[in-house]
Amino acid sequence: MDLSSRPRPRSGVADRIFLAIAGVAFLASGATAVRTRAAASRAQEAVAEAERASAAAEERIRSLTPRGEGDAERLATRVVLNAEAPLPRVLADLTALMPDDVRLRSLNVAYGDAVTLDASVEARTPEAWDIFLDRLAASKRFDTLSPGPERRAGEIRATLRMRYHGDAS
Amino acid sequence: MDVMGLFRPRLYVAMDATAVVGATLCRTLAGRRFERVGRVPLDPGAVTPAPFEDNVRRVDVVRAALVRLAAEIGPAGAVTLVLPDGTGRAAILEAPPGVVVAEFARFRLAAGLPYPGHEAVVDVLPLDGRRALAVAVRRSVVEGYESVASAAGLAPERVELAPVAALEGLRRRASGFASTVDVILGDAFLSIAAWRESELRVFRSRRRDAGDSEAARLRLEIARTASLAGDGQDPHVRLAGPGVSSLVRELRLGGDNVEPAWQAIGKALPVDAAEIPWLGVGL
Repeated sequence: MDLSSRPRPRSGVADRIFLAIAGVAFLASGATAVRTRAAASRAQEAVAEAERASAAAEERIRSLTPRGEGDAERLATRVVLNAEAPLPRVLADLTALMPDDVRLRSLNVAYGDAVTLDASVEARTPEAWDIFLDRLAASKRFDTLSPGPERRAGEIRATLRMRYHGDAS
Repeated sequence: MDVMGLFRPRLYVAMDATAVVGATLCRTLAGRRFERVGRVPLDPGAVTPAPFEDNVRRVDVVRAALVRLAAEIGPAGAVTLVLPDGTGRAAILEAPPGVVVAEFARFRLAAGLPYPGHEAVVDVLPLDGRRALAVAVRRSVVEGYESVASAAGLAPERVELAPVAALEGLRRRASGFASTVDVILGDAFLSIAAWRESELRVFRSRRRDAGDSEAARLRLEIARTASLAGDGQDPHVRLAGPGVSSLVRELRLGGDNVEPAWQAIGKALPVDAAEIPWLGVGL
């Protein structure tokens, strides 16, 4: 209790102890930060060295690998896949499976060893979304179905990753 | 941050109607203790404890006594000035949730003060939960004591009220009884606190009449206060302040369960420890 006519700002024993503890903690954290920074610097140097070694090894592998045959095979596969699975056909097969309450927002098609699709889909109801998933699962033209995160607040927005087989009937 | 300030001695200086009393409170890692205690008598009328008018009537006499006291007990760090009982008004309050206790205390006490509320210095001693013992002292009364202490080279860093300082010490020293009444004596006023277990239930102050039948009157006041606290059946009584030795003796003769609030251990003091009501603040 302080009944001074002009009381001073209070600084109790507990406040002083807490300040002392805070001071010690500050010094300790400072020392830790310095040690951590030094360790991070050493780690960065090690990473840079490893990257340099890795780049050199890749360059060495490329120089030792015979060119021509593999690249030609990959190119031929893409040509075949483009012929079997032209973009309009992929799009048509996919939208044919969609109920009325489902629509395609975007589609990314990658031609590699297979035709891989990344589709962003929007459904007005969970029921329509479930029907679309069932149809995809039943279809032989789409497999390795991998639904992405769904947002089920009212309408559903989700992503799908799948493979397309244009030769399947 | 002044870490060493934690261990710097603090000089407590108390003024009352009959004397100025000082004690040096030292803090160590083992705890707190009063090391040097001194008492310098005052001429009658030099200090007149009262809630309204200036209490220090003979400034030169009081200042000389304080200078002598400081010389007796040696240099000290910060000074805490202890005002005598009778200068303040105290009340137990319970602040509503969401209200700052000190602000609520000012609001409640201001309505009952016999002087304008803005002239009051108000502070609280937190009790349990949102309960607190609120104290108001007229600013001009505080300034009178501060002024004479500063003139004696003892500019106070803090100001406390003797019965509340005593209460802090008594609160820390649990009696172990279900019902306890503490009587805190000043030269001109006395305060009575009643506890149930460790809860402060009643706090009263009244003018002291140190006549022949003081013990008998005190016995009635103790019983009344214990009854107000909800238990008038044979409370445990602790006494502190001037005249405590004879009062304890007389009350014991009447069969009361009474003891001095504290006693000095170790080297002898120039004043009986129990005669200094606020000494408990350092125990």
